[in-house]
Amino acid sequence: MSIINKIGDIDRRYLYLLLIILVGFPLLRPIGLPIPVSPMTRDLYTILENLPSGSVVLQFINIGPAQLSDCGVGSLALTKHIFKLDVKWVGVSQAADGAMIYENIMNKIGQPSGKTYGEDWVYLGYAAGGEAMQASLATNFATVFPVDFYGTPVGEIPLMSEVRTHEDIDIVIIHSNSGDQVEGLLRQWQSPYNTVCVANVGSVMGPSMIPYYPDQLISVLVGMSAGAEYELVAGVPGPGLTFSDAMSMGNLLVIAFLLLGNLTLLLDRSGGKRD
Amino acid sequence: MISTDPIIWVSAILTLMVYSFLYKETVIFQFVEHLFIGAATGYFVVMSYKNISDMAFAPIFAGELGWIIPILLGVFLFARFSKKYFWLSRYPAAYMVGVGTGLALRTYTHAQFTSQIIATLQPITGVDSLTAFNNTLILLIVVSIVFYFIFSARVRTSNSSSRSLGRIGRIVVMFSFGATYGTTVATRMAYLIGRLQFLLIDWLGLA
Repeated sequence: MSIINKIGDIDRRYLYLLLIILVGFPLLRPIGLPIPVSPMTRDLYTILENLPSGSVVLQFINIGPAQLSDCGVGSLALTKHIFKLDVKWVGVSQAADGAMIYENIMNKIGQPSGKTYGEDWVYLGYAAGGEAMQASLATNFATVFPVDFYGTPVGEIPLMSEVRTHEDIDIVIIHSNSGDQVEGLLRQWQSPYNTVCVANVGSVMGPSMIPYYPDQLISVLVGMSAGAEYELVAGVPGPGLTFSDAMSMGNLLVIAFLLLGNLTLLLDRSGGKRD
Repeated sequence: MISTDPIIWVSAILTLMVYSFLYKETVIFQFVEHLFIGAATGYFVVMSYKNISDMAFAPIFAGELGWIIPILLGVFLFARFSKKYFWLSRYPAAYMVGVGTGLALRTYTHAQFTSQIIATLQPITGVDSLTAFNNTLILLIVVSIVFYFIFSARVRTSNSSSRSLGRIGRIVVMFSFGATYGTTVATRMAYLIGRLQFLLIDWLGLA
């Protein structure tokens, strides 16, 4: 049996082991590979930095625990940055586990300095309904969320007296792993009301969301790498900077596997049938 | 230092039980798979009930009786399980399809058709050379893919220029599939990194 045949027949479990070792090592001993910041990420940072005092940012936290290490990195970095600014924050979720992610993010941020819940930020919780929910929210927040996540009537929350419809929102950021939710936002917020929209999506959704940049989505953060870029540019260190070396090593290994796989296939074909 | 938090220990052991699938599928993996589905379903039911309770039950008790109608429609959905009352489930289904279609069509043409055409037809004069090149490339790619899909069924009978354009379209579609495959791998890699970070750092305290 030739070397080519042996490589082709290697037990996939050895490949998993190699992947785990290569990805795990940089987590323990960071290599410090450079992280180039894309214009999309830099532009978003500049836009958020230049928001007038008292602006209201609406975030759709539509990701689940599985996405914490993917677009969740961007969610944490963006939320950390927004809480440093003199702006108000309103959070909602279209995913049932979005509330879990909100609490996870807030646990990592801690008590935001100089900010009070209900006055500077509010989390309204999860609401079903998909695109219909997005449409209703644009016209009347209180219809979709009569109470916040903790059961306080919105009438008793000072911030919600300023936030009633899409007109009171300056920028919408959607964290999602679903194309339908982002496109629903474009259909129900961006298109009818010209609301400024940003998407922070999972890596797999990148190719289908980029076409909306820059006319409909002013920025698209794609996956963990964009989250790491945002951590770097906004000066809010988080898991992304730790993860990026591991991601690079993992991707290099996959590229090596792809090249090797194709090479063995080509050599196999040129050399006739396998043993 | 290794974690002393029992929650972290439970999470770590469950993670390792899931990853046992990489070696081979065993009863350990099947157990944790069912446990996950059960826990996720339970969580989803509780959150959904909270949503209905906050949005509908509370207003009803406050005197807004109009909320009875959507609740009733929701209950009708369960009529699918009855042969006798199956027909009742058609009303909420029709209502949901109608609302969904109406909402989507309201702005679909602008949001996902005309806006995308405008985004495709970007200026190639009065901009820097790289932008002009990019804008030309976008137009060429979109037109070639449209040609590929329109003429793919009868490519043999179409003329050579449309065949060439269609071939470019096919190559570009392959690039697109490649990009999608690459980002799919990146997503899975991110999930693995997240779990390894949890096992090596949060659980074992190796860094």
